[in-house]
Parts: sequence; structure tokens; C-alpha cells
Amino acid sequence: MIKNKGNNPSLQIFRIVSKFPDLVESHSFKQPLFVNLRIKPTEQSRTYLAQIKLTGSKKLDVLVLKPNLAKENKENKNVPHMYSLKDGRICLYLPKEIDSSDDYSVVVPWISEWLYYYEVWKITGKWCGGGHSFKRRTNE
Amino acid sequence: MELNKNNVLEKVANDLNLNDTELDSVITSYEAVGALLNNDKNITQYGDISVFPQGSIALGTTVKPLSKSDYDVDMVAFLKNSSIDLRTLKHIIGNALKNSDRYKNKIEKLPNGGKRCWTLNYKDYHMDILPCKPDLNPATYKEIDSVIATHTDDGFNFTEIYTNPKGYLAWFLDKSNSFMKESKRLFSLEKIKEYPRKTTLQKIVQLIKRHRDVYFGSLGSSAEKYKPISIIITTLAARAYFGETDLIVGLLNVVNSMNKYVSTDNNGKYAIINPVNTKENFADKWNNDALKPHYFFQWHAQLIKDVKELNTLDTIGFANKAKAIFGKENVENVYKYFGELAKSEREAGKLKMDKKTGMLNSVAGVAVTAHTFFGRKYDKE
Repeated sequence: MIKNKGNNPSLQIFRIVSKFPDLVESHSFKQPLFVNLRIKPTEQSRTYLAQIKLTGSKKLDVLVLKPNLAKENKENKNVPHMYSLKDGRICLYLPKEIDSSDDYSVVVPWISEWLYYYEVWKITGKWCGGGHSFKRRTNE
Repeated sequence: MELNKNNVLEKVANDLNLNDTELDSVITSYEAVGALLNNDKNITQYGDISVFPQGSIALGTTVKPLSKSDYDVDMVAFLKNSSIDLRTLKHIIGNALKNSDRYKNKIEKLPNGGKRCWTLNYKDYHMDILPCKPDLNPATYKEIDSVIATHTDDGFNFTEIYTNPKGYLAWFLDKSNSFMKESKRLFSLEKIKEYPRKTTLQKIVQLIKRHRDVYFGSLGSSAEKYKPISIIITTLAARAYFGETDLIVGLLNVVNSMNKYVSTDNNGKYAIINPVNTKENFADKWNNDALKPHYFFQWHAQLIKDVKELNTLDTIGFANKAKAIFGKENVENVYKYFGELAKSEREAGKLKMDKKTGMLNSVAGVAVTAHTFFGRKYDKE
């Protein structure tokens, strides 16, 4: 039986899968725990494939698997709000905004929103979604 | 408001309108000229004079110019005296302007101005004032608002020009409103600002005119004189419009078939006859310079190609194509508007995501809760 509301990682996957059945492309309740979602942020957007991955005990990674963002940003690698362009890992929240007792399905709309601003950024060069950045340790 | 192709094009068209300040300035100028002419006894001794807008301001199809060039404001000075001779008609109006302190330095003289209209140069626009009188012999009984204007190259010899500004406005509005329930007619100056919410046809005309401006802008100043005139574009587009309410569908249909309404007679002469004045051929100059129709058809072929392509592209592709054909800066501004709108909707708790598709909207779905995008602003991997 599930004791803690938020703590059980496979319960998090289960929540997302049952809340958004039309978006789910694939998922796993066993390690590695993940759910892949097909998302179109706007009516005429291409379909993105995003992944929510639960690694280790509580860590939550969100990646854009398709299209390959590194490939389509070869010339300008300064894609805003990404932890890793190479891996496609995107940043959706400040560390304090989510913890393991929360319902991770709240992240799904944030993915759509990130993709929305990504498209607007590709078109205009401006990131309109707001957010925080931190300086790299090397001089910038 | 959702980010989709139609909403983007709507906003692109809207941003081409004159803003309220600009419109106010134009209205003030119209009113001042009208007052001057109405109070000039040299004019009113011949009859009543009525002053009203024509052209894109009246039709609701203004498109701000691309660069620093100024825009056109068209006005009719209609003297209700069918027997006045052409030269007198032209000169009593010209003299009223030349003799006024206000306008004597604004008026454009021959050979650049004064052939058909008297042109006043203002800071951001120029106003073309067309002196005209009633035409008592229109080609058909329906063309009763037809007028006779004048043309001169030297200020001494005048020929008659036939047109019908009131009739054209009514015709165009009828085409615009053809499938709408409410239909508002605009004739008076005061109503310009309350112009009915722009119709699909008006926006289609604006987008096509903008495409023309960008296309000819890229050809350079030598091609400037071959730019198809707005009355031709407006007339062909209105003829090709059949009440579509979806902007992209309407644009595609109009663009695909507008050239069908260019006629040629047995001698290969081009004709685009004014629908409300059979004596006026908008394409008459095409028959004096073969480059004019040449450039028209070349531009129009590109227009079809571009609009068809727009229709097939996804959000990013569509945006990039729209930037190329309607102007990079104004299209980018439209997308920035949508980007900022989504952010403010999220902050107001109104942003939602559709559960089936993942689409953002402000109507239905799962709430996009408050959060802060984080992470390195740039990643140099």
C-alpha cells in the first residue's frame, strides 16, 4: 500500500499517466522511471516529445527528446533556461518550488509553457516567459 | 487569445492601421481643409462644396509605409455644379489653398503635384485633394454618384477624368459586409474612428498591400514606379472575395483568383473597370507601359506562392515566412505580444493547458500554476 502521498516515485508516474492519458507516448513504473509525453504548445506547432524522468530517489529531470534541440540550435547555442542543451534538459522551476512530497504532474503544463516560449524565442530572439538565471562560475 | 495563424495575421493587419493619434491628426486636417473651402466665397459662389474622405482611410485599408516614407490621405472636394468648367473648378480650390497662410507652404506645385489633385504636404503624410463636380451623364443609371475630375499637365489644358468615390466606398463596404449581419456605412468624417471592427476583406487587402510593399521594397527604388496601385489591388481583391470569415482561407482564395478579374480586350488592352463607373479604367496606365502589367503579374505569382506556403507551415516555419513577406520587425512584435500575453495570463492564474493536446489557452484545461523558469541563461555545450 502506498504510505506517503508524494514520496513514492512510481506513484508520481502513475499520477501523470492517469491525469494526461492522451499525452502519454510511453512510460515505465520500474527503474528507470519515466513518462514520455507528446505535446503541442500551440495549435499549429510541431509535436514535441518530452520526458519526465525520476532518477535516484527524488530527483526530477525534464528533457525535450524530439526534436533534438542541440541539432536545431547549432548556430546559436544560447538557448534560455536549459541545464544541458546536449541532453535536452530544460529548467522549469526554482529548486524551492518543488519537493518530493508534491504532485509532480504540476510540471506537465510547465513543459508546454516552456515549449511555447521556446518557439517565440526561436522567432523573435526574446524569451518572454520570465525566470531566473544564475551566472556561470567562469567569466561571462 | 490563442497563438495560431489566424490570430497572428489578424494582429499583423491590425498593427498596420494608423493609431488613434495619427487618425486624430488626419481628421483634424480634413476638417480644417473642409472649413477653409466651405468659407471661401470664390468657391461657394458656384455652389455648395462638400468635402469627404476617399481611398484607404475611407475604406479602412490603410497600411503604414515600410520605412520613413509618408502615407497617403485622400480627400474629395465635390462642388455641386455640373456646368462649371474644368479649369475654374481646379483653380478655385487651388487658389483657396495657395492664398491661405496655413497651406501656401504645404501645397505641391506642378510638375510634381497639381495634375489631378492638389497635394498638401504635412509632417507624416500628404493629403491629395481631388476637385470634382457631378457627372450628369454616367454610363448607367446605377452610377449616379459619378463625378468628373480634371487632369492637366501644364495648368492650361484640362481633360475630364471620370470616377465615383462615394459609389466605390459603398461598393467596397457591401463586399466586406456581404455575409455579415450588421452593415455600417461610412460617409462622414466623424465616423472614421468608429469604423466597424475591421472586416475580413479589409484585413485581406491590408495584408496583400503589405506584401506588395515588402516585395517592391526589396526590388529597390528603380521598381518603385511599377508598384501596383492600391485601387487595383483593392478592386481585384474585393471581386475575388466571397464572404470568407477565416482570414487565412479568405487570403488564400482571394490571392488565388484575384488576377482573373484583370480583363483584356481583343486588342490586348488591359482593363480593370471601376465597378461603379464604367468610364474609369484603373489599368489605363498599363496600356502605356508594358512594364506595369509585367511587374504586376510577376508580383502576383510570388504572392500566390508565398501565401500557399504560409498555409502549410508549422508555428515556427509560418512565423519565419511571415517575417520575410510582411516585414521582420512588425511580425516579431506580434509574437512578442503573444509571448508576453501568455506570461501575464499565467501570472493572473488564467493560463491553462488542454489535456488532450498540451495546447496552451485561456479557456479550458489544467491550470498552469506559478513557477519560475530557472537554470543557466546560456549553456555553452
